[in-house]
Amino acid sequence: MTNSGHDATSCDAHRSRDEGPATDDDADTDHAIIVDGLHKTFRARRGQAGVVAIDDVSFVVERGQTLGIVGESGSGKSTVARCLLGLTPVDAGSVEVLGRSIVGANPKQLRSWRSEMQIVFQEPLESLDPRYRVRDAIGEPLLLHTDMRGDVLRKRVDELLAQVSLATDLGARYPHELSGGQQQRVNIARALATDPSVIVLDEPTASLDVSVQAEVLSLLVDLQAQFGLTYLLISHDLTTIRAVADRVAVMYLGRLIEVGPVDEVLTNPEHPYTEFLIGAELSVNPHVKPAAPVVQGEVRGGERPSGCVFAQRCPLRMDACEEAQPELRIASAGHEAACLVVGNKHDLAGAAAEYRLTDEGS
Amino acid sequence: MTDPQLSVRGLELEIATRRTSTAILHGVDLTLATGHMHGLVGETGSGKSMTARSIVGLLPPGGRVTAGSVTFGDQDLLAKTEAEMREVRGAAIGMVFQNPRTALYPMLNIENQMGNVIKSHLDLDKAERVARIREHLRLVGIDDVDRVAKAYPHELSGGMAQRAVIAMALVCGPSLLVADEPTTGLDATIQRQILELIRSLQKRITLSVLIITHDLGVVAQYCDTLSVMSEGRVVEDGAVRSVLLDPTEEYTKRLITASDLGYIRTKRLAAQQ
Repeated sequence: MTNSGHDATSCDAHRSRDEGPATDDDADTDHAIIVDGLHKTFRARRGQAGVVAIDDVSFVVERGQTLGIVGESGSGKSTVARCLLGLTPVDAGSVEVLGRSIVGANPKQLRSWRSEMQIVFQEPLESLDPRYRVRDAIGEPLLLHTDMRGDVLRKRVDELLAQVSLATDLGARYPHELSGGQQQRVNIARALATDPSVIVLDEPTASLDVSVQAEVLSLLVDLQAQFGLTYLLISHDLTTIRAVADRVAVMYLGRLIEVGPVDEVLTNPEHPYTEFLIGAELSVNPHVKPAAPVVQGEVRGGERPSGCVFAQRCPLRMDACEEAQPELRIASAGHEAACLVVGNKHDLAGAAAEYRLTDEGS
Repeated sequence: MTDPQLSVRGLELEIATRRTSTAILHGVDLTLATGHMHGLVGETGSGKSMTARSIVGLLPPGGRVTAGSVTFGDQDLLAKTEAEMREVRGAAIGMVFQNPRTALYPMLNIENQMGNVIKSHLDLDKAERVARIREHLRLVGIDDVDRVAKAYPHELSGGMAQRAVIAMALVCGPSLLVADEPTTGLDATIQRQILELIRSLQKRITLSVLIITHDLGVVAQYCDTLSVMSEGRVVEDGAVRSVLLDPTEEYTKRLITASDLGYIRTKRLAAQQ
């Protein structure tokens, strides 16, 4: 990563407008992914207001680590994944993966870089061509990106099948003949084929059964340790994020509202929405009760608020929240949240109870 | 312990295709006490949804119960004709399914759909029907009743549509609610809103709830009792605390481990050392 140092600095500068330098001031830190000031609005027609999918999102992912992006429908998390690989053009901001600027790259460049940056999608069957046998599906990226052919190619496909724990004879099957878990293993093998450094995982286990989900996540963790892979994991499920990610970024209506080490964010959340999201994670231990009250209301589309995107549903809302979008503020080392209450003790449960009362009274 | 609201004994179900017949359920037993919430949990193909469909008499084509009994209060549901079951469904037993958008008819607004349900079970005049619809929309936590009553399904968010479906399931005053994956596909915070709603309704209107889910967390946090199903059989059942904190069956243990995912985290952290 020859030029990542430069971009880490510009990223810090962006973050530090009023908070001083961000924590990753070590210029040697090896960032596989640097996203800075990303904006994306989807418009049905030119000139229309459109839907803001990503609004000024910045983050970095260290080489060999996993950043989990968590959020609910409409948070923009999947759009971030697509922008990262150049599958969706961005409106503004920069995206660097492995030192290459994705924004402004031409399709030919993107194609040639794709051997190093891969993606696994949510629906394992829909990601596979029904006419390709497993073996051909896994070999396809090798035909495109390498000059492996014949026996060499066959050996590499065998090796990949073994790496994702699929029996060699499954190679002769068609995707519809496999279980959901096996199909997703084929997608992972395809992603691994060209020896990438970065893999974007967009809800890789959301459509799988509980026990299969655990097996696939376990495989992903093993592969990361074995090959030093960098993951960007998109998920709606905090349990998955907690198990697999080193750091977590929480998104809400296109804004990144909190980011930091997984343990830190999930035990000491600073943003009220993060706290509500943690409260919605239902433990399989009946003694472990939800840590937060139930949040009222729903994500609203339509006109974007000029202030905080969560203010409408927030029990801690103050007048200042409606005035301007809160910037990310440092809560502790490497942990930032875009909320005015950062660093101040607050009683979300008490405020939520009161909020509900006044809500019903009005 | 109160009398069971619902009792299923030795239920066997087969689904016949043109030539062969496949056994789907192999002697399922299930007991739901009055006022309780019972979780029927299992993975794809475990037979949890087929058990629920057998109870309410909504079997897929070719489906046939070959043995067992389903007792609801003092009624033998398997002895009823299809016409009699239509009387039971929607009146004494309310039903909620996974996707609220497909459970609602797209061409009618919420008020008219709920009105049709009432008309088919209760003898009420228009004013009484309207009052009952409004009352039930408020019951499920909908504040802007006027808007939602006149809304078509596509105009509602997923969470709001599921509230409307629950209101429709309850509008004729059932004592049992059968909910098949009622929160799957909803966002986490909305899922919790809906589960809290079902729990509060259960207390307010004395409702027994049978909830079918793949999510052990839902069962752990909201149910009193549960049955764990696998391959058409109940592998373990009982009070939620005893089964989830001290499971006896291997399958249950595996399901708990796989749901919690803590071991993956431990493995990952060990590899980073």
